[in-house]
Amino acid sequence: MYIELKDISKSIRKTEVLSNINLRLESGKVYGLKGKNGCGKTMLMRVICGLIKPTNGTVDYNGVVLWRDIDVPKSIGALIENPSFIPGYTGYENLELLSSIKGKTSEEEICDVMIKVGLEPYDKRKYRKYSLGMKQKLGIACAVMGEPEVIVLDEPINAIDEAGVELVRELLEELKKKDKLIIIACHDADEMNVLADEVIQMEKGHII
Amino acid sequence: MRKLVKYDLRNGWHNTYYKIGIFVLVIVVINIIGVNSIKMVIDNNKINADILDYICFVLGGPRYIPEGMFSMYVIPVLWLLIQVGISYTIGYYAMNDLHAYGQQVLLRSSSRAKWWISKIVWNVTMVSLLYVIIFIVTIVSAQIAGCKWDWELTTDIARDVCNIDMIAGKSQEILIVLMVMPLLTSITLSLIQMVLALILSPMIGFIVVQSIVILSTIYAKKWLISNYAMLSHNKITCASDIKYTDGIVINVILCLAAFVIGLCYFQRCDILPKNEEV
Repeated sequence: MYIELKDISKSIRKTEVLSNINLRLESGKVYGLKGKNGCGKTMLMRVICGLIKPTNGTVDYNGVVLWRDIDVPKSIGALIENPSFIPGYTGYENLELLSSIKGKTSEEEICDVMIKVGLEPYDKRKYRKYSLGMKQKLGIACAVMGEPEVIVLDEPINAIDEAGVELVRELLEELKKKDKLIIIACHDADEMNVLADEVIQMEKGHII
Repeated sequence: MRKLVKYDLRNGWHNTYYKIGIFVLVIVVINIIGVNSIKMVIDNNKINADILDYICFVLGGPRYIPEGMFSMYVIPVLWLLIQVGISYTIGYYAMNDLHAYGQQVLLRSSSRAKWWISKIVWNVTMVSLLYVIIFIVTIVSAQIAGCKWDWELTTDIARDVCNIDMIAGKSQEILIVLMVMPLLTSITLSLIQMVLALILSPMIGFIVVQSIVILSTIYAKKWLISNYAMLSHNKITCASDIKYTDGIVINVILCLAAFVIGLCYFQRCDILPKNEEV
């Protein structure tokens, strides 16, 4: 499994947010996007997820070209910016509803992924009562649920305590061993070096 | 596809149930006013009212204003409340979903077309539900008021309460204009609103649709489609050239256009966070 980005550029309201990006990402690795706020990390993640259409260039998923052959990648999980769920549902109910859209993930798998990120599956609290850290953990659980081929996590350890960060590390390691292609963006340079196999430095929409 | 629709019905309900609650209250209040208004006519003229008289009070629409007679115009507050209620209840869900949980759903559905079709199905279902609420509340109110279980309009009530001076149509035509056309027109307007919300913004979609609705209460023109939802502006009750047969054709064309334009746009559009600044 690979993702190949060729000459990707993106302009929004006449401002170029991504410029001439060329990347080849392969499964079984964790790629870290590094750079200051506004350097284009999140935009690049959105392009990879098919949420925004590049002005120029192609995104190739194993020979299948996004926007030409498909409009959404076939097997992708993402946490981009703040997680957003149905406030009146519990964490489990939210994941169950999402899992029902694409071939039902079993109850055990949902519970398993929640435990792996440090959430209690049968916690009766509604999502609106969750702390920031719990919301973030649920966002990660949602992204990895069903073990998609590509996992995109934007600032996954934001608001998560040290114990939670350790769980995220273990989870990413496990997914990497299962040959998943993982892309993360992280502000914390030390954490990025621990989590990522390859760090991609970005600045003003370019890869440097 | 079925799973996506099921998701939208569940999530849409969570997003709109309190608005539907407010809508039910509004319909109950309108019916209380209707029952009292019709009772006065019944008492004065020693006549009986039919169910259709009550439905006409709620959905019949404002008085037809002949050209150049704008001074006759009275703002139809109750009728407008229903239209605003439908628009407000339904108009924001699709875009709110797209900028939140809906992105996860989109990634899992693996198809933008399916996502859009599911939102269209949700929209049509919700408008239909709101009309079911209108009909149920009105029929129950009419029964409590002791009406006859007949589907005819009473001339005195139509004239004194429903702004209708003459009835020149067959019963079936009146039923279509009073019960089918409001639903069909509301579906069309809500689809237009959803497309405008997608391309421009939910607020602009709401404003454009309400402008069409308000202008329709003043001008009985064919291109102001809310006219097709009003029995009081129809050719069978006034001197306008508003025909329900035209209305059916125009509504179907506009529904299809809204569906196709929305689909084409959504398949190519960028999904950015709300208030994205670059």
